[in-house]
Amino acid sequence: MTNDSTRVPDDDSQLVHAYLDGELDPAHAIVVGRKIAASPALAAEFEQTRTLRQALREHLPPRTLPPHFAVADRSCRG
Amino acid sequence: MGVGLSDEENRKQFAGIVVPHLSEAFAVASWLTGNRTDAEDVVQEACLRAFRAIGSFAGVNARAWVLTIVRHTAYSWLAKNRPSEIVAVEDFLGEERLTEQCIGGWSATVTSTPETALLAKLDVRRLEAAIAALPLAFREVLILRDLQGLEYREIAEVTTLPVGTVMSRLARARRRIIGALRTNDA
Repeated sequence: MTNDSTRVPDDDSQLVHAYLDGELDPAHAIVVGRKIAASPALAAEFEQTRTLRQALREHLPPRTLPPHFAVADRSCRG
Repeated sequence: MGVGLSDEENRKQFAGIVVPHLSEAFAVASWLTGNRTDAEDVVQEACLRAFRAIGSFAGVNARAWVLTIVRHTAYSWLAKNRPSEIVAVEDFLGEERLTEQCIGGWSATVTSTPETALLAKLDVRRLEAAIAALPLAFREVLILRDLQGLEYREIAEVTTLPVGTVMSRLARARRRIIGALRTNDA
């Protein structure tokens, strides 16, 4: 795989996700932030992933515990 | 049910450790099994397993402990009822490489598209379908991170995967969803 403007190393690409998730220590976050600023492909992955995360958080209806489950819960407690 | 019925202490522990996480347990089971009815079965079974094992809880992270049991129970349930879902993750990687070659990975041309356009007209059913279509190994990591908000190290604990594998599967899961939505858009 080449490291030109249209292909990015998979490691860098994964680090974009860790950067977005706040999982990098400050030193690594600075490095990855600079890489994103310098690479249109990484910037695209960053923006699209950020939008996806927001959509997942805001648009999906919650899977709520059925009201009757409390009864079953008591039964499984013995 | 014959599971140490009269152990009042176990019941108290169960109430303190497991019950606070039942809603989340149900949400995770729903996403792993794909429907509410099966999720109820899984959570019931997970409750039973948790009750039996309550004495082994180390007292550190009840949420991760409960979700670990739920995940394990869901895997057992799927192995029994839908064994085709349990596929070695390696099987997807070759397929993924081919797909990436076809769509050119994260091409620079993507940048020219407003980033919000991809998801602006998104309807919920398409998003849910894209999640449901993910292989289980990717779906579980996405759910635990993006829907339940677990940190990578917590996901690693629940799935017994190395943190690096959590990171790579999460990236793959998100790319697959974005790819699916983009394809459907065309």
